[in-house]
This record gives sequence, structure tokens and C-alpha cells, in this order.
Amino acid sequence: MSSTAPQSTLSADPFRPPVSVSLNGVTRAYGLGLSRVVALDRVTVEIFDGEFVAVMGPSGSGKSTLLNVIGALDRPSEGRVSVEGRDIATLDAREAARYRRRSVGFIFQSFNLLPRLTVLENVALPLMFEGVSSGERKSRAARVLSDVGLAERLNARPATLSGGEKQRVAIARALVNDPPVLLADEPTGNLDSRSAASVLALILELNQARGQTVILITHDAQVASHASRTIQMRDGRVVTGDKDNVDAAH
Amino acid sequence: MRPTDTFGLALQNLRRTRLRTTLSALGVAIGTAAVVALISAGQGFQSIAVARASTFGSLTGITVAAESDGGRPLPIRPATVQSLAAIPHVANIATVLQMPPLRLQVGAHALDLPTRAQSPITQGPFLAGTAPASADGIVIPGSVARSLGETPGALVGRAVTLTAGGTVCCTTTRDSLTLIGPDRTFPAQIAGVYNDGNSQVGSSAMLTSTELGATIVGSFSGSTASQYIDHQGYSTVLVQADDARQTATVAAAIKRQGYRVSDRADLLAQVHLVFNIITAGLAAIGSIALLVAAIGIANTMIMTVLERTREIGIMKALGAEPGSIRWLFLFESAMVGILGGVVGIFLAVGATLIGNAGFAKFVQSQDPGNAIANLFIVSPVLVAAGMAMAIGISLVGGAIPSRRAVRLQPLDALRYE
Repeated sequence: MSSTAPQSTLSADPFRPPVSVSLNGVTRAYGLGLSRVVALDRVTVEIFDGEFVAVMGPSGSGKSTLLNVIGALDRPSEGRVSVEGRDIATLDAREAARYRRRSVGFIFQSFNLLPRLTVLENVALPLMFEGVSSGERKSRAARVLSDVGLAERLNARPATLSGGEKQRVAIARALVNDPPVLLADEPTGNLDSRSAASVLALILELNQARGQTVILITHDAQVASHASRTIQMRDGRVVTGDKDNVDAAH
Repeated sequence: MRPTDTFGLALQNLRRTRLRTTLSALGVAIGTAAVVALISAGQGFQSIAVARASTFGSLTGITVAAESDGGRPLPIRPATVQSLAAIPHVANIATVLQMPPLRLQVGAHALDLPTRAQSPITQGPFLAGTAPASADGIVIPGSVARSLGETPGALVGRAVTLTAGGTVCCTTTRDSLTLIGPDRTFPAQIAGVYNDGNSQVGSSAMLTSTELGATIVGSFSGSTASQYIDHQGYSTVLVQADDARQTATVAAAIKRQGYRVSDRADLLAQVHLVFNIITAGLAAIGSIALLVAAIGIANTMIMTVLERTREIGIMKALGAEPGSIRWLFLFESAMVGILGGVVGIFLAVGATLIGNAGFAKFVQSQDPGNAIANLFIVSPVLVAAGMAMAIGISLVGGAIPSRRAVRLQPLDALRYE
């Protein structure tokens, strides 16, 4: 679906895949004066369609801010963010909500499932916000849940699930609207190694089978080794893995 | 997000916090019940007072003068009287003719009495006899019977002679006509004796029909009764509305025909005003309870928003629009209002039914046989207004919390523990 996305100046090169996410001189700073904290410092990154990018770096290096800015959960102080050819730094609250609903899927370290809703209802939530009818919501959510191997737990409450299962539910929820970009913030951080491996395998499979662009934050070099590219961050800057290194990686 | 889904989610959230919802709704219920019951009491008082006041003749009576509003003479002829009678809500019309004092001769006794010609004669109550059925019938005050030394019953049906003219004099009544010329006598008979209490003889008027009056007065100018009335017209006409609440309307209709009218409909307006003020005062007292309920809802909903901060963050991250979040909380508040409003109206209706039954018992014990009016009146309009108030106040209470929910930044909300 993103083959028609506008491309950067590099698009003259027929061997380059289309750009999915691009950040150009993005700065995100909090506070003013002496208490000013710069979480992102003039970051310029391009991520291509269907890429699986791992973002690594010490805590406080700006990984999460990068992800939040791409997901329109946070707004850059300066710079341009474009996803699927669309400038998202200037969206108003309503447009940002629509963008989050249709263009990105979030997977959080702490799952962020609504405890009082069933697994099926949790997964169907983005469809509800989209205004999809109740019947269609259920069938679509059930289909995605069976894709992530949870066809048997549709009516369970999140509290009765294991950590790995919870993250699968969260992945199903992120996929239910079929967004072109998946944003995962340490999705395996709260899981034991076996669950982590299976969740990672699932994300990899989605990336390959569905062609979704995946941007995944991790501390685990083992996890990062599965990515097509690793972006290293430090002090709000991209140290390695920005577009200049892409040619080498390919 | 579809409204049905917002509604469903809001309902689910309310069920989750059943006790809290019940308590908030109870606050609204008590407030609504207080306002509805107090206003119904005000309306009941008003209705009782107006009904009572409406039976007072002075509030239904309209006096039509034989002059224009500007004071120019404007005769009231029989045709005019007919057109007045055709005005809606006119119950009775009496024509009045200004008369000179007449001498009443009963056997050997003669008394000079102020006289009033009126058709029909509405003076009462009667000690004996009735209003006259024939044109020569007259009604005399009880004080005359006393001074004649006869019982009222013995006087009824007695033939009498009425004398008019220059020698009949000096019963100092206001507004009386003076006739100049030789005395003329007219036969008449006593049809009834009315009760004028302990009045002195000569202070209460003898009553004749306007026809007899016109015959007497007309004879001095050589005209018959109908010639006189067709030419001169009646002095005044007394119009009575069928209900005090219609007096002003009827008076206005007569005024449009050009006549000067006087009525006391303003008294009823005063009654209305007083009770509207009382009702407003009662409503204001009741509103305090509603205000407290609104604060209660605001407080509950702020707690709810706080509790659900993380949930709101998740919903926003998943693409819930600000409008969906706002309506989610406003629906919750509105439903508390609907619940509270329904319960409150049932409470109020129950309380007023009990109140009315108790009031009926009280009235019966004071005055058996009295037609019992309701102390509390709960009109459909009041029920609808009570419901609207309950929902309105809940939405007001929910406005600030829902705005807080809308303004929550998704990131801050997601980090909230």
C-alpha cells in the first residue's frame, strides 16, 4: 500500500525501496531555560517500507521519544516527521487520533490492555473508535487473534493470561486495523526468555508475511540481531544506523 | 465512534462502580424530588388561592359605564347589551338604570326610599319571596319590613304604590336622579324581601326591574319604557365573567367596543404574582439540593477520570478521538442524571400523593363536605422540567471532568500509575 508513497530526493535511485517513515532535523525538548531537557536532538532518520528496524541505546537516550513522535503521541519541538508521505507534526488532536488509529499500531512493554474488557473486546477497541459495527468488529478481532494463536482465549480477561499471551493480545490489537507501521517499545522487556522468543518470532513473521514496517526498541542485542537494521541512539542523537549506513546494511 | 458504542461503554463503566453511581444518582434524585415537590406545592397553593379568589363576585364583575374611555357619553342601548352578552366567558349581564328616590306606600304607611332599577335583580339573599317574575315586581330591603312592623313573609305578594316626583325627597343617596314635576304614582307588588342586615331604614335601596324603572322615569318626558331605554340607554351594565381568570379578557373585549370599564382583575393578577414569587422562592430552596447534587456528580466524575487516567491514555493511543472521550464521560453523567431524575420524580409524586391525601383528611376534619383541592399539583410540564433539570445539572457536573479527560495528554496518561 505504500508503494505510491512520495519519496525523498533519493528516490531517483531505482534500487531504493520507498520511504515509510522519515524524520528530518527533529528536536524534542522539554522545559525551558536551565531545566531544559533535550530528548531528541536534530534527529534525521529514514526508514523504508517493510523494514524491521531495531532502536537501541541506554535509557534516556531518546528511544521512546523517537517512537512517540513517530506515533503522534508526542509532538516534535522542531523538525519534520513524515509517515507514509504525510506530515504528522502538524496534526491537530482529532487528526492525530485518526492517524494513530489507521496508520500505526502500538505495542507497549507493559501491554496496556484494559483489564475489564475481554481479550476480544480489547482487540476490537481500535475498530470501535473507527466506527466499525459490532458484528464486524468481533469477526475481525477474532481473525487477528487466531493469527496470533489465541483463538481459544477470546473471552478471557487479561488478568488470567500469561505475560506472553498478553503481549500477543496487544500485538493483535495493534494489527487489527492493518496499519502500515508497527511501533514496539520493548515488547519483550517484561517477558521471560521463552515468551520473549515467541513474541519476537511473531513480530518477525508479521514483518515478513504482511510487509509491515516495524520499529522496535530493545535493550537486547539478541533481539536486535533479528532486525534488518539497528539504530543506535545516545543523548538524543542517532549514533549509527541512520540512512548513511543503510547502503552498507543492504 | 458510534453513539451506541459510547453509550454501551459508559453503561459498562457505570455498572463497574455500582455503589458510587447509585449514591450520585441518589443525590440527583433527592434534589429533583425537592424541586418538583416544592414547585408542585407552590402551584397547588396558587391554584387553591386563585380558585377561591375566582368565586369572589368582585373579581369576576366588570362595570360598564355609559361613556367612552375618554369620558364622552356613549349610550348602552339594548342592542349593545346583546353584543356584550355574546362575548365569550360572559356568564351574566345585568342592566342598571339610575333612579330617583321613590315613595313606597304599603297600606297606610309611606316611606321614601333610594331606588335602583336593575334587571335581573341579583340582590340577595332573600328573607322571603324571590326576584320578581313580572315587570311590576319589586324587592324591598328587610329594614323596610322591620320599620313597617311586618314579617317579610307577610309582605310578599302585597300590592303597593310607588310615587315619583318633586315631593319625594331627601333620602340622601348618591348618584340619584332628581325629577321635577308633579307626583305620579305607579302600581307595583312586592315580590321579595332581601336581607340587608341591621341597616337603618332608608340606607338600603328598593329594587325594581329596569322596565318598571324606565316606565317611571320615562313618564316624566312622556315616553314609554322602551322608548326611554332606546333613546337614553342604560346607566351602567354589570357584566360577570364565568371565571375570575377570564375577567381581564372579557373587560378587554368590552373596551374594544369603546366603553369605559372597571374591574378588579388586577387583584387576581396580584394573587398570581404573590404565588409566583412564593413558587420561585420554593424552587430556589429546592435548587440548593440540586446544586449539591451537581457538585456531587462533578466530584464523582473527577474521581472517575482520575481513576481511569491510564485507561484514557490507552484509548487515546489506540486512536479514540477527543469527541469520543468527551461523550463517554458526558454520557456517564447524563445517565446518572436520568437515573436520578426518574427516581426523584417518583419520590416527588409519591410524596405529593401522600401529602394530598393527608391534606384532604385535614380539610375534611375542619370542614366536612368541602370540595377538596389538591395541595400539591404535579403537572406533566413540571415532570418534564424536573427530568430536564436532572439531566442538565448532571451534564453541568460532568462538563469539567470530561474536559479534563479530553485534555489529558496521551503520554502523560499512559505513564500515570
